[in-house]
Amino acid sequence: MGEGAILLVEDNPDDLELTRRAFRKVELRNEVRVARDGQEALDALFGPDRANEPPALVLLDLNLPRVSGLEVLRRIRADERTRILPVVILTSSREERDLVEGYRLGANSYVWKPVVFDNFVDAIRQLGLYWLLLNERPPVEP
Amino acid sequence: MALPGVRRLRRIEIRLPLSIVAVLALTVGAFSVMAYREVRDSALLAAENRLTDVARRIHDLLQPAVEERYAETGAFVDRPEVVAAVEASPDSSEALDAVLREVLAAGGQVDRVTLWRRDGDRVAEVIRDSALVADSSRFPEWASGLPAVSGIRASGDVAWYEVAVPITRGDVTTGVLVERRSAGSGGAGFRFISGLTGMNARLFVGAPTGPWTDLTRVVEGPPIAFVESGEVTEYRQADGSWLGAGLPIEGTPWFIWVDAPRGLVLARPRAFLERMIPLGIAVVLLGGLVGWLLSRSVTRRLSQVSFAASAVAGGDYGRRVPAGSPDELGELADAFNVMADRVEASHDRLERLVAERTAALEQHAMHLEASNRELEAFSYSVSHDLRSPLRALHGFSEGLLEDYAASLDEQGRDDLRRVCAAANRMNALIDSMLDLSRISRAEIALHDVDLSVMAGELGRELSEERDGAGLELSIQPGLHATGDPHLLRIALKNLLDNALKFTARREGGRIEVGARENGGGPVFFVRDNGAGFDMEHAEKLFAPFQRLHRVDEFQGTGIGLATVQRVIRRHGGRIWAEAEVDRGATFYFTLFEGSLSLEPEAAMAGAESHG
Repeated sequence: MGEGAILLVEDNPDDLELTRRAFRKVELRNEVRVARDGQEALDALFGPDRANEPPALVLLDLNLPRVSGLEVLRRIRADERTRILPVVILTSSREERDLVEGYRLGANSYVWKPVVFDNFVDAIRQLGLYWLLLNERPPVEP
Repeated sequence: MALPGVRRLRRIEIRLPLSIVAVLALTVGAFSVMAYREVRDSALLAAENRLTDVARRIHDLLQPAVEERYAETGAFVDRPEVVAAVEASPDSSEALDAVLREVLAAGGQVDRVTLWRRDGDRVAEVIRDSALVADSSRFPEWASGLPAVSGIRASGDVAWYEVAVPITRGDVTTGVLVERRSAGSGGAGFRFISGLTGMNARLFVGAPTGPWTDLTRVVEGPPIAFVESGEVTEYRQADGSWLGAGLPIEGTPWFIWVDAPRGLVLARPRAFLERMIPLGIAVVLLGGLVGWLLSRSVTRRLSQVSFAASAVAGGDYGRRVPAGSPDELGELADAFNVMADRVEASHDRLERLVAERTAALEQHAMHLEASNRELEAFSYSVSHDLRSPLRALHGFSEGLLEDYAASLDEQGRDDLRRVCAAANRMNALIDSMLDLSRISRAEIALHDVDLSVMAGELGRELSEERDGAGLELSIQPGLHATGDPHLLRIALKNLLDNALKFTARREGGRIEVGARENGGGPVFFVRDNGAGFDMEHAEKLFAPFQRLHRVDEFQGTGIGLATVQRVIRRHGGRIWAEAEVDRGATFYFTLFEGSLSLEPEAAMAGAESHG
C-alpha cells in the first residue's frame, strides 16, 4: 500500500489489538502510530514531540478518555496544518447524532466497527485500499 | 338562513312596537271609519230633516201670501162701480178706471188689472207703465167661482202669475177681477230661511211642467221627475249629488222644490275625517314609540344578560349584569348573577385543580425527561460499550480458530465456535434493542405508503436471506396506508420475517399479505400456515424478549414483535394475532384508529430496558 503513516486513536486495548490484527491480515504495512486517548492524539498531531511527517490518515474512535473524539476532530479541522487531513471515524456507536455531528465537524468517512471479525477485517481492508492507495492526496505544503 | 334584515325584524325590540303599531292602526282605522259613517249618516239625516223643514216653511210662507192676495183684491170686487160695470153694457167710465187704478196701486207687485164679464168679455184694463207686454188669458181656475191663482208664467226671465177674484151678485158670479203679479217678491225671505238652516239650498216654485222660478226670476226646473211626497230624494247631476224635497201648495197649481248639494252636507263629516286622520296617525306613532321604548327597556336588559352570558361562555367569568330592579327582568338578572357566581367559583376551583395537576404533570414530565436522558445515555453506552467486549470475544475467538486450530481438539474448536455464535446472537440482540428504542424516539413523517409494493420488496430480500425458495408469497395489490415509510418498513419486515421463519421448514408454505374492511378503516394482516402457536400465550407475544419457541427450534431475539407493536402504536393503531398450533398464525394491525402519537414516546417502560 501507499506511503504515509496511520494515526490510530483507540483507547480500548482489545480493539487496538484487533485493529492491528486486521492491518496485518490485509497486509497493510504502513507505519501505525497509536494514541490511547484524545489528548495523546492532539499531542501526536500538534505537540512538541510530534513526528516530522503528518499522518496520511487518522482513524478516530469517538468515545475517548480526557478529550472526546469529536473534540479531537474539531481541533484538527480548526488547525491550518491539518485542515485537509483525511479523518475516518471508526467507532462502535451507531447513534445517529454521532454520525451527523461527525460529518458536520468535517469527518471524511464514518465507519461502524462490525462485531463479526471477518466483517471488521473487510472494513479495514477497504479503508486502507481507498484512503491510502486510491485516494489522491493534496500536495503537502512546505 | 334568514337574511339579516329579516332576522332583525324578528327581534322583540322591533316586533313589539310593530305589533303595537299594527293593532293601534287597525283600531284607530276601524274606529275612524265607523265614526265617519256615523257622522255622515247623521249629517245626511239632519240635512234631510232640514230640507223637508225648509220646504215646509216655504210652503207655510207662500200659502198665506196667496190668501193675502185674495183678500187684497177681494176688497175691490164689492165696489158699486165694479159690480155695475160687469152687469151693464160695456162702457168705460172714469169711475171704474179709478177703481182699477186703486187696485193697481194697492199691490206693489201688480202691473196689470183686468175686469172680465163672466161670458168672457173684457170690460176694462189698466196697465202700469213698466208693465210686461203679454196677453192676459182666461185660466181654468176661473170656473170654480172662487178666488184662484194661475200657474207660474214666464216672459223672458220674469216670472209672473195672475190672481182672479169673482164678482158676485147674490149667488151668481157676474165677472172676474184679474190682477197680474210678478213672482219676484219672496226670494229674500227664502234666502233668509235657507241661510238659517246653514245649507246652500235652492228653491224652485212652479208646476211639474214648468216654467219654474226661484222667486226672483225664471230658472231651469229641478232635474228630476217631480216628487211631491215631501220626502227627500237623492239624485245626481253633472256637478255631483243633490238632495231634494218637494211639496204642493194647496189651493194653487203651484209646487215648491228645495234641494241642496250633498257634498256640502258631507263637508262636516269630511272635515271630521280630516281631523281624525292626523290624530289617528299621531296616536299610532305615539303607540309605536311607547312600545319601542318599552320593548327597548326590556330587550336592553335582556341583551345585557345575553351579552354577559356570552362573555361568561367566552371565558370572562367575572362578568355580571346590573341587578336590583324589582320586576321579572330583575329576577332574571339576579338568577343569572347567582349562576355566574357559581360558574366562576367552580371555574376557579377547576383552574386551581388544573394548575395543581399541571404542576404535578410538569414535575412528572421532568422526571420522565430525566429518565429519558438516562435511557438515551444507556442506549448510547450499550451501543458503544457492550459492543467492544463483544467484538473482542468474537475477534479473538476467530483468531484462535484461524491461527491455533491445529492445537485444539474438536471439542475445543466446537467451544470456540459456540463462543462466536453467542457473540453473534448478542450483537443481534443489542441491535434489536437499539432499534426498538430508536423507534420510540423517532419523529414520524407521514407519507402515502404502498404496503403491497413494500411487502413485495421485503419478501424477495427475506426469502433470499432465509433460503425461502418454494415458499408461496401472495400479496393483495393496492394496499395503501398513510404512515412513516421507514417505520412501516421495519414493522412489515419483522412480520414477514416472523412468518418466513415459521413456514420455511414446511412443504407448501404460504404467506399472505392483505387487508379487509372493518367499518373504521382497513385491517391489514400477514397470514402464514406455519408452526403457529398456542393462543394461551398470546399475551406474551408482543413483550420484548418473550419467546414462544425454543431457540433451537426457531432463531430470534424476541424483540421483533415488540418492535412491530411499537411501530403500530406510534401510528395510533392496534395489533393482535390469531393462531393455532401447526395451523399457522395471522397478525392483524390497524393504523390511526385511536390517537396519533407523532411525538417520540416520553419513555419506554422501564421493565423493557432491563430485559
